[in-house]
Amino acid sequence: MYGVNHTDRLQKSKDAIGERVQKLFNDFLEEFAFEGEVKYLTLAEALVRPERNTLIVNFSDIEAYNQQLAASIQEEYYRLYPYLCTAVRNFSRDHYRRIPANKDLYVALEEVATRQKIRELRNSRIGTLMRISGQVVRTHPVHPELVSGTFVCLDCQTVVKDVEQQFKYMQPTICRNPQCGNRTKFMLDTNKSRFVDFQKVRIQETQAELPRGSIPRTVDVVVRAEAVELAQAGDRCDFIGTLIVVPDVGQLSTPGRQAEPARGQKQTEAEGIRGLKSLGVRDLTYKQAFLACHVQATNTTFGGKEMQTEEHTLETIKDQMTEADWEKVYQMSCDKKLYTNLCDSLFPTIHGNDEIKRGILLQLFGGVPKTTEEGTTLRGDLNVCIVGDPSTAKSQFLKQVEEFSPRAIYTSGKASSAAGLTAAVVRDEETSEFVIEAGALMLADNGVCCIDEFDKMEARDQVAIHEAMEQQTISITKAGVKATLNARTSILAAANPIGGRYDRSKSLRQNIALSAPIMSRFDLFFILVDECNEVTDYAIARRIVDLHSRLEESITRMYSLAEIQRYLVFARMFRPKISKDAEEFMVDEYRHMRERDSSGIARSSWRITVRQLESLVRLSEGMARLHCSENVLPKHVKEAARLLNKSIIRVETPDINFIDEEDAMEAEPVNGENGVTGTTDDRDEHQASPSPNEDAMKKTSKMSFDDYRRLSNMLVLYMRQREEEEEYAMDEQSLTEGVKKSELVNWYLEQIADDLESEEELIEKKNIIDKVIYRLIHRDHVLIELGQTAQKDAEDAPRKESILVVHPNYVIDD
Amino acid sequence: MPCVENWTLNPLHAIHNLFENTREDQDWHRGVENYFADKLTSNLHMIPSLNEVSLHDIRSASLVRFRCMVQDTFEPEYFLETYQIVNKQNGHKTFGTSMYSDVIECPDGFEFVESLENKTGCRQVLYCVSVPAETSWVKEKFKPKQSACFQDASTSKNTKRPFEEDMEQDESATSERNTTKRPKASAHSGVNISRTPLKKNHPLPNEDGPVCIIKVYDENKDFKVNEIYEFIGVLSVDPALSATYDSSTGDGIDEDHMEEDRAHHPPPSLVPRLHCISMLKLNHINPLVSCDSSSALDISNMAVNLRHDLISFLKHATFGDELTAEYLLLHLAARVHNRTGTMAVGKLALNIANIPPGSRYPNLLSQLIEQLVTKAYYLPMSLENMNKLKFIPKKNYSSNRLDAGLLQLSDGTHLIVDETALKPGQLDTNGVKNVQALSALVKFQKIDYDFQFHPVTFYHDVSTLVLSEGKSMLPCDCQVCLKPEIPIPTDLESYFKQLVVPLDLMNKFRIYLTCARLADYELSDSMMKNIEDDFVAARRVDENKMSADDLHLRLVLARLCSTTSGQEKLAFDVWQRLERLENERKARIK
Repeated sequence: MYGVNHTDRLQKSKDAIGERVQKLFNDFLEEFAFEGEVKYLTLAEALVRPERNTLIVNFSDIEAYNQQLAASIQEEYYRLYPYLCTAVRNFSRDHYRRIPANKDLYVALEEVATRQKIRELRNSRIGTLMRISGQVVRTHPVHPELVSGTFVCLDCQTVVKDVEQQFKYMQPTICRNPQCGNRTKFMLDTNKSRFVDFQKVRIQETQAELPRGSIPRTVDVVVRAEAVELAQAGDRCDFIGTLIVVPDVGQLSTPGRQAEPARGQKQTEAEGIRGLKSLGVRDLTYKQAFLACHVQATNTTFGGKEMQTEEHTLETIKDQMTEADWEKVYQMSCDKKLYTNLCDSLFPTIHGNDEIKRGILLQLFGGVPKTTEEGTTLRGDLNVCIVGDPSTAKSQFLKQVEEFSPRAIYTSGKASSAAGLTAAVVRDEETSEFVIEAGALMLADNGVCCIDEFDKMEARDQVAIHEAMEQQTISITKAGVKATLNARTSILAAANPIGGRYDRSKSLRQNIALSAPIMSRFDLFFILVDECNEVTDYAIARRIVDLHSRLEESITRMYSLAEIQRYLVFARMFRPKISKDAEEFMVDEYRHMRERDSSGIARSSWRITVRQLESLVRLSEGMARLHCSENVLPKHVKEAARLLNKSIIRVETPDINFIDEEDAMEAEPVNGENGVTGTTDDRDEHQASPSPNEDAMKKTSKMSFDDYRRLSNMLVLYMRQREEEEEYAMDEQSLTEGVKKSELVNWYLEQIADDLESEEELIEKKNIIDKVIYRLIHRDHVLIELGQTAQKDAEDAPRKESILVVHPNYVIDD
Repeated sequence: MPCVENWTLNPLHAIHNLFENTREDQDWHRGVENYFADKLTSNLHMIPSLNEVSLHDIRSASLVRFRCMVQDTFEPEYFLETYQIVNKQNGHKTFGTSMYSDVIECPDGFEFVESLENKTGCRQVLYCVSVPAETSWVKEKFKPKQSACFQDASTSKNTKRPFEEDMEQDESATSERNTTKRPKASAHSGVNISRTPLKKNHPLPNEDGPVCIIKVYDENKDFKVNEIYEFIGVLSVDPALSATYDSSTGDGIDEDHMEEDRAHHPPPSLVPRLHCISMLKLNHINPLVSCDSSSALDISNMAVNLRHDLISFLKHATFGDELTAEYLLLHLAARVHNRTGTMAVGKLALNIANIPPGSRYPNLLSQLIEQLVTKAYYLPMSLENMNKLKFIPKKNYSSNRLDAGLLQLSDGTHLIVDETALKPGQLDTNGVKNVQALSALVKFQKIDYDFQFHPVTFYHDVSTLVLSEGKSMLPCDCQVCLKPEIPIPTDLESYFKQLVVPLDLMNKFRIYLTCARLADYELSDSMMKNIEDDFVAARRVDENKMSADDLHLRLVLARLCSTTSGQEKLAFDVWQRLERLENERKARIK
């Protein structure tokens, strides 16, 4: 066929174009100068060393030197390849005499722009130069391949030299001795023949190139000389070379072996089409293979898998993009409303929850990892946790990220052990050696690890990921294996609150079963509450109904996922520096947060520490990246701080509704005292309740949480005071500690007497204080009613006047 | 009928004629396709189908059809589209083509020439298996017509041959079952290397339908796995094809290649090749309904009656429980009609709880369902099955093909999972993976196929019915508790045997279900508004009563209620009736 057999023939019959290209290429090697030096002269010097035999030539250099030469090589690569190699040999030999004359030299081309998908390899592409990328799934052992054979005629002992081989073992057609006429009986003289390292590698279409529902395509890649052993199974590599077709038999792996001895046909006819008849089907079909001259690990390909930030500059990224892609990225970076547009395009199926969307978006952009002077690394990845009621689209966020992000792993905490998440040492069954098996966190290196049901993970397993979350490494010391592995991953976790529903009267920490150290490792905490309000309900209903009523995909995205992916890779290249203004602003913000934290005006669910400052830095950097800005500006910090504030204290404490309490009072007799310590510290209080002056009914039945607490604290303080006083005056009333309820009410009303204007108001206030006390006793268990016991002791007391004491364990906060 | 024989029994002749005349044209094979398309429109039934006629009854190189599922796609294959042969005597050159065949015929006295006019072509290679879980009545229905017509065409030819070959075939069939023996007692004897028997790669265990390697000449057509097609093309069972399979042993070609070669070039007696000339993608395989999607699937006029009849039929199976029968009917008519993000909209995974434990009921019920639908598979979820069976298709890199797993089912298959078969015990790693895969299928209608280096997600549409004692462990959309109205008979088998309906009515049921599944449906704007209002109102009363998931479910049910009643639009009374149904269902769970 064209690929395999023709060139062989063409080569022999003096290919004029080939010779011309050889000359031009030689000139190129001689003349191409880079920074005043002849670039390839220095590179060729290495070929003197016996183990080296390949000169790597940058294809863009050729393009720069002679466009036409580059075009010819591109179009007729397979045909011209031998001439290029000859040119390299002549060139090197000319300059370095130490290179033995019979040493074969090869050329490898790098930086070839034409990229082809494996799926698009077609008949018409055969022989042209291109680059493909794929995941290596199989490597075969390296064999020596016969390049050029020296044969000895078994009849007359004539030596036939330099018989070129092309994939197949080929003997000379006829003995050179004119008297002999032997056509079949030859012996290969292996000592005088030349061989080259040869390896077959199979690659598979990457996930990014794979159309939905199709089986990934595979293709065999043939690599030779210095390109062997470069690709390992599991790697993603780029291969530069050309598509060829080879007979569909396992002959390639055993070059130099006679492929069809049993068939008994004349060896001279065993090549190509002439062999068809006797070979039956075997030579009738051919399969495609890729002959590669250069292998390199896949770098940041667009839409590709890797998201490495190292080694690449913006320029190389730009080079790899097509004109249209670049245009789009540029256009996106100019979008004024990019932030919201990206959010909407990423999560089109999730209604509302804008803060969470923003948080996840910034997580995808990430901060800049840094190394301090002492060598400690500071992570750039953001960790986000979503806590929320069941059926509030938590998992949908995670799934969406998994679908979108190229290196994301989705796992459930319930079904994962620490080993499954981090890494495990296992004994290999065959070799009985210990090997390290990567867990989800390692697999998501440089990506996002989505862990659903994070709270269901066992506590000791949670501890295991402490290290991964802050240091971004995983250390293993087990069974003689000691290793520190990278796990530079952002964690996106979802957790259910304790008891299934988020209790808004409790703090975040009381609501989820996570230890404080692990909580502090999350940069952002979001709380999703299944709120019942008409606006959101309508929106949800609208979206669901929409989903069911349309046949087509009911999503409209501003940007396609592929576009966002490209933009993300591009934007992640930026390493924004914090500007002076931003620095000051950041310090300010941090101080604010600290102040608020300590003053208790708006206490957050955890203490604001340096960790939050780091989060602030990371978020600001992420924000700057999102806008492709070289510097972190105050506006970025502002948004970051806003998000941080929002995320920590998102839950509003609800109004206290007394009507329910009264219903409950009748419905179930509350078991007042059973040792439950209902400490109500750490409450979130952020937003003041709506204005209390609507109608009177509402006023009595509802009061804001702040007011409620202020009142309760006032009462408790008073009672504590009384208790202390009583302790001093022991002898007076030694048995009955505590305060009578009526006393307490009266005391309270006296306290506020100055503010009251009418009698109605007085009655109202009395109602309130009654209810508050009731609630403190029965709901919050702050006060303990000693009524029953007191009654028994003093039977003469006709009216039930309960005596109240403060729960001994109750600590007043603020 | 000589003209029929010409193009059905020797299509290559016609192809060669066309090639001779239009060789200059780049797209000459389009002419071939058109030629056969013309012939096929009226004579489709004349073509024997590999599904019904056994391979040894069909002549090599004749025209056949095959109804199958694409199980795997192999790498494309290159071949000589045009080649030249030269007459050794007079040097006269002629052209030939190896399109639609595997072997080049080179008459005596001719030899091949290596010429610049030789052109290579590229064809796609698909590995196809007979439709998994195809129910027996479908097979039966397809059968009679074909064999009758086929007899006409060929009885005159082979009178004695089939017998001999029959025996040979039997032999090979038995040896295939017998793992120690070689798969095919072929002429190439003396190879004593024991081989593992050739796996036909059916997704389901115990299935042994025909398989075939299809070669498609359209380079740009993108085939997805698990799609159902009917291919019509030239059969190729040339013994030369088994050369690779039989010979690539012993002579030192390394093991790797041997395994791969054998997977990709199985002997044609087991896996014939079919060179596709015409194909049709099928969205259902109901023999009673025309494949032509344009013909109106109009069942509206009889839908209401049929629905009533079918429910009363199902009601017997649920021991008089009308609610369960109703949900079962809806389940049978469900399909995924839209995918948004991670959600598969339209699926209805049903869990019937309260199944009498330890009875044959799940099995009998699944047999009943098999009578109604075209593709159904009964899976007892026993520990042994979960641990032993392979659910997830896995890429085997040493043979370079996709090893099928039980869940590699085509769209529209009904999977009946019997959870009553499950006993407490240990699930091993494989078992856990299987359960996870099953859950993912139930919940998202997708399966991550194992490609070792990374999983690849494939979408499915497999309606799952889970029969369980309590609430199922699988995340079903909807749980119904069976509430028998009559005492459960002790002899279930004879009870179910009595449940027969006239074949005529049964066929109507079958048509009805297929059509209801494919029916169109829409929501009017006013109805949408109504639904939204209802939702908000319900939540205002009690936010726990109606979650977003409940609304999802209700909309799916609404769609099914409408389509099964032959209505294209959701009517308000249906919506209200649904609310009653749902309330009753929920009340039972409590």
